[in-house]
Amino acid sequence: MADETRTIKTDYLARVEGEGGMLIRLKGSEIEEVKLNIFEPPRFFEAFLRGRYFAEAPDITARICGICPVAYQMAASHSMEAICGAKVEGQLNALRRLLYCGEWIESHALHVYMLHAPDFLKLPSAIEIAAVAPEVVEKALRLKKIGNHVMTVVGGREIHPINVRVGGFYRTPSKAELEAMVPDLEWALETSVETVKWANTLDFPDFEMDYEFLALDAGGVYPIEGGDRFATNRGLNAPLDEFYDHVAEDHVQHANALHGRMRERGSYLTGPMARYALWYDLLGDRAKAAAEEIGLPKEVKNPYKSILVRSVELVEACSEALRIIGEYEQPAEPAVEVTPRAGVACGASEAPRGTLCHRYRIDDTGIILDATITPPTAQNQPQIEADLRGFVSKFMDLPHDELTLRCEQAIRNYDPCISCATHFLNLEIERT
Amino acid sequence: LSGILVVGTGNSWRGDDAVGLEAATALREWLPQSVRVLATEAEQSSLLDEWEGCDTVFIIDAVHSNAEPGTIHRVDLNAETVPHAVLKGSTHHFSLGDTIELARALKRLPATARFFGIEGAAYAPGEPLSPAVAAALPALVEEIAKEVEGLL
Repeated sequence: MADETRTIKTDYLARVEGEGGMLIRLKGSEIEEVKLNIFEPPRFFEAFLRGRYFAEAPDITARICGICPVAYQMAASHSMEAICGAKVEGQLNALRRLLYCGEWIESHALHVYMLHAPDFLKLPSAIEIAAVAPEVVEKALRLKKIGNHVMTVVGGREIHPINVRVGGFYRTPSKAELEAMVPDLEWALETSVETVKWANTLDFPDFEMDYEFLALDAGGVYPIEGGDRFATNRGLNAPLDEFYDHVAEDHVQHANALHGRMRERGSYLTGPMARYALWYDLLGDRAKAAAEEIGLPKEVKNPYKSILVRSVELVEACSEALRIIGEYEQPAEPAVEVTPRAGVACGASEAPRGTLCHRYRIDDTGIILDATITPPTAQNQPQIEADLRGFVSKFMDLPHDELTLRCEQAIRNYDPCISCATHFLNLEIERT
Repeated sequence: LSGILVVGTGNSWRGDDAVGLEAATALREWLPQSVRVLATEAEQSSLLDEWEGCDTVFIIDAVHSNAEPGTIHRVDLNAETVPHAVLKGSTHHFSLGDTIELARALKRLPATARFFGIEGAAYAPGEPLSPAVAAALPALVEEIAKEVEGLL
């Protein structure tokens, strides 16, 4: 028995964006192998950005993902604006944050209710939840629709918005257009508060990890649409342009997505739990109250409880959207002028699932010479594998099916976007 | 308005996956204005809202089930589920099959709900419809148009 080999395996992960699988091999009580396999085909975005005009980057990179296109548009715009010395501030930046709140609302609502909840309710998918608790799914659909609507009003359409450009927008909405969304957003805010309470009724395994959390430092506000610095809970706080001095990306054989790691320390976590742990004090009153009401500590280390943190962020996104609309005054110009100049810079934003960093180098005519894109799921892969290792070593006596489900859930805890992560493949040809 | 929605869905840049969109475009020409016709590449779960309040919906999409290219799959959605082999999961969270099953569970499927799937052959980026699918399209458009006209 001691040397019995046991394999925990899921060939195709359900309820994640993109194509991936999982393999864990145990020999007796030794974990021999843990692999998050990412076999989604490579996407080559960084290569085909080369030679394109700098102003095209937000629209090209938005196509990487249908769930978080705004994250890409913002990171690309920030990077180009940093290179060209342009600043997008005031109401234009507030509009960017509002657009991004729309993305957080639709993405977090989808993940909390439709993708993550089935794990806790031990049902295969949201369709089965709809059969037993239709009101839960109706609520999720309406929340998601409200998030999508914010994206349509500010961004022109819900998937791959067309109204974003380097320097701002093509057109800004009127105050009346934004105010028309207030009743829906007020409903969404109250529903999000209820969501936090509902999520707290779920059962969580007793499991914690000692994480290094990484998130943007947005200079006094909860990081959403951007930030000029990034920080971790291990004392690192540096300008964004030093991101790649601290974060390395490695190619591993079992994934078409690069593995991110801290050069000195290894795996780290980016996403809601990191933002929350680093910037709890910057959350709005409603989000803090919702967290306090369920007794959520200021730092959550149980990855299965990411659903609670994501729900608190849902509250934050709804409150922020309402605050921005309340304070909105339509800007005189929809964008600031951005004139290309040669240079290199990083730009980043907080995608629903974590920090997304872009770095571009352009020449003085605005042509992109090279591009590096580091999505959150790529960064989180080693940490997901570490969580799996930690969970299996603690709970290896669970019945096989239950352990398999918990391991799949350990991956879904991260709301991974595999399509985003797979933009690279190191092709090696062996010749004899 | 007639309470009838005809919706074609797919991806206009992926070969035969555009066939639902092309069918809807052709049906828009054919059918009277009282029939709502939608060619959409939007996220599939949004269809739940599109057919809200309708008593009849016709859904057209490309399918991949290893049948002969150009084969038409007809499914009465209130009498049967879409076979999994016909409408496989999308990698984008909510597939058309998921959306239909979700609508059924939420009792949000119109009283008459028909699915028309056209077996595709090739889905390469930027390619036009393959010959077998292009050849099957006119007869399918005529079949759906006549069926809708019969309901008016």
